[in-house]
Amino acid sequence: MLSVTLATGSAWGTLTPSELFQKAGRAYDAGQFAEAATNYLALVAQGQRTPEVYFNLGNAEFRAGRGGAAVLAYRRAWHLAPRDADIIANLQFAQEQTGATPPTPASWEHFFQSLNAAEWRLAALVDFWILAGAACLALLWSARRALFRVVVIFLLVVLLLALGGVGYWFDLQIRQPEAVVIQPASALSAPLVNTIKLFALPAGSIVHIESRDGAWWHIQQGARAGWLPQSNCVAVCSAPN
Amino acid sequence: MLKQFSKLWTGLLLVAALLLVRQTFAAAVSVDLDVQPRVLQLGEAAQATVTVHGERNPPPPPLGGLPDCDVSGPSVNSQVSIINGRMDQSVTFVYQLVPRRTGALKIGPINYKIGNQTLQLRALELTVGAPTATGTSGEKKDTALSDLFFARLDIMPTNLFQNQLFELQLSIFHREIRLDSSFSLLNWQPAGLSISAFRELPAQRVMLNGQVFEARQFRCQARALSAGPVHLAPTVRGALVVQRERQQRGGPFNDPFFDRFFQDSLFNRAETRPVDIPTQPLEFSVRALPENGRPKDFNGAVGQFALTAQVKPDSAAVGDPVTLAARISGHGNFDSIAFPMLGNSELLKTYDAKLTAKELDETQTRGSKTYEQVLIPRSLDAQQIPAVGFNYFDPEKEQYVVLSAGPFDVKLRPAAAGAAPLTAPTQAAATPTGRDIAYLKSAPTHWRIHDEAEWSAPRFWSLQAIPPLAVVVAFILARRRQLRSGDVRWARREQAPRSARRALRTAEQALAMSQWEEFYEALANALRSYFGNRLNLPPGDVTPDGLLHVLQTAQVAAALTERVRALLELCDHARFGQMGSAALDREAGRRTLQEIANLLRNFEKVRL
Repeated sequence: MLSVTLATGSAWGTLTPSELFQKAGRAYDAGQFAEAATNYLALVAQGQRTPEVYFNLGNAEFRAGRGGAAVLAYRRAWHLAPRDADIIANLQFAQEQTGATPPTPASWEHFFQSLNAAEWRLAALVDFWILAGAACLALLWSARRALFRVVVIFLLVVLLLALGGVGYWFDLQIRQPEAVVIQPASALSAPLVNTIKLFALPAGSIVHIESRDGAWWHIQQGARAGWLPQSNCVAVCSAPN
Repeated sequence: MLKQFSKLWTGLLLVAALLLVRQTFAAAVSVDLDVQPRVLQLGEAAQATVTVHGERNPPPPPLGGLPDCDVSGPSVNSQVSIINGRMDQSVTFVYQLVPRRTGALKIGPINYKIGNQTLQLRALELTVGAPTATGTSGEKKDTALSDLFFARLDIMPTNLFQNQLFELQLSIFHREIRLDSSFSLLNWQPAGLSISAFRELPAQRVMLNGQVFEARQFRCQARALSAGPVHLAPTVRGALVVQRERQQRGGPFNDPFFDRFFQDSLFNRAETRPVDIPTQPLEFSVRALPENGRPKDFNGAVGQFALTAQVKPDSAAVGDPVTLAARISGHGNFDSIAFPMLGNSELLKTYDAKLTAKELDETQTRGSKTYEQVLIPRSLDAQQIPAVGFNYFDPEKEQYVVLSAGPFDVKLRPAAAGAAPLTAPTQAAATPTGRDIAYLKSAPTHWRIHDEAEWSAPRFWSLQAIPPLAVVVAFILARRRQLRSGDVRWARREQAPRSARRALRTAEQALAMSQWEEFYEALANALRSYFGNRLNLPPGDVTPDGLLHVLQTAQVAAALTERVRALLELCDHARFGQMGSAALDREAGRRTLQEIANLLRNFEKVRL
């Protein structure tokens, strides 16, 4: 097993990301979905965490019959490109096929999900510079001070919203509260193996991690809550594997 | 007129009195007997209260002849109340009962004759214990502290199953000592148990081993999450209330009255000392839910439940949604309850059920949950919605119970023209026809290793310091401008060299065109505007004499002062045609211009 990994690793090492991406695409077209997924995962391992790579990885996993892993890849792609129609459609489709219930975010979450983390950061940065310029003009251009004061207040509100977006994604990446169920599982009433099964969680279910207790996660899905073994799910924002 | 009014008034009073009498006599006569406390020591007195309702002057109840008790009293108390227009009159007789012996003393039933009626006072039982060592005689025996107070844990019921709700009661008993009202539980982390908050029950007296104890009782709802033995051994920490010892023998006035005053007053208050109350550990066993007879879709509900369900509306078109509402009510672990959902079928398309109502008590164990599931009939054959089932384990019957509701009849009519047909999913085609995942995306434009480091690089953050710095600089500039606009003296001082330079430029142009009058006029303006602004003088005060006076007062060097005066006079003479032709020489004019420029430059360095 070790030797296989090393051989594959050396093969990846000689390919540029573009070549590896094309190789994965060819494998996908040839119906070798597992190999395609392996190649896309190699790109992710190289640090090429782009929406395109995660999206194609999701497709390969879905075709390979791994619905949970597909939803995980699509969700990671959606984190990077939350307005991409293809990603949204495939994520929904994969969840429909696995029987998972899609999450229902609050309206404020919808707002912050309209841009990704980098876009919110850029928006905050640009607004910060423009705000400083407008503040300088408001101070120095006394004849137009009233106008610039309104502009400054508007830009300040925009900056606060942008910082809210930055904080929202930062929280997702740091606290990692989102997880995808990889294998179908049941939420249990307690972090013990022989306890009561509260509700079923199909593969691809996106759950909210409330707390972590060793090898168990206390998760919530909608109004329901229960315990899941950590081995059954993967945090969306965790280090990719 | 007055006579008629008087008659009317008298009539109204009579009617009111009749109504009052009718209300009084309409009420049935009833009696009630209560004795408190029911558990007491020999030598203590109990209070017997007999309340007579509906009779204004009842005779005293015949309690005087009670055997085994010394009876004193009664004291009588009458009360009249009107509630919702209904008058209630009650008379209360209070007796003091002092038992003569230990054991169980029966009081009543006693026949009580009120007027023509004979009523019966109910029978009660008093439990009388032996007096304590200090109870009556004042002699104090050596008593172990654990005999004076202890705590006990009990569960109800004792035969438990996994996930079954049960009551856990903590009882704290004490006698001859005072315990503070607050307690805390230490080492209270019962593994494998889900426990709600404790609530206190009314305090009472109990007889244990022939001794009378005050009992404080706390109860909570609990549930064992897994089967197996459970061992609970918490430490109950309370506070013993003791009288603070007197600091001084004898009162300050050496008088029994004042001694008692100081002993009972704020000067000698009680204090509390923490004490761990000995607690008997509680061990019990929790049985696993039986495998025998367990339904396949059992979801862990344990308790007693009922299921009702209905489908609304009862008539619809094919493709229109109908709602299946199911209500599960009862007592048990409601957090483990799941809705008995219907799955997709060839006849029905189903959606996830939603919890629409939750009516549970504060312990979340008694009440009801209502769920709704939206169903869409796919064809006219779906006239009957299948029954829904819910199962649970009944710990009292020790068996699984399967509840069901339905099937439900729905009158279906064909779908409206143009409505999209609903195809039934089949095993062969799990993916709906015409839908699939979107194809692969093309490669990104730029391959770049995802790195967050650029956002946290020192260079990035140092760049972000520029905007706030710019704002600070703008603020300083604006502040300076604001100061300048408010300080005339400072503003004119700043303006002085500029105004002089302007005038000198004008002079230079006049010199170039040999316009002597304008030239010397401009030179004079340069001097006047410079010194006028520099010294903040009104325009009319910039005369040679006035200027010399100011400069001398400012202790400017005499040579400079003299030179200013000479140049001003020169300009004035030239302006008014008192100069010879030598003064109108261009070279001489240039020297004068240069001299004035140098002079003003020198004055810029002089502090005025």
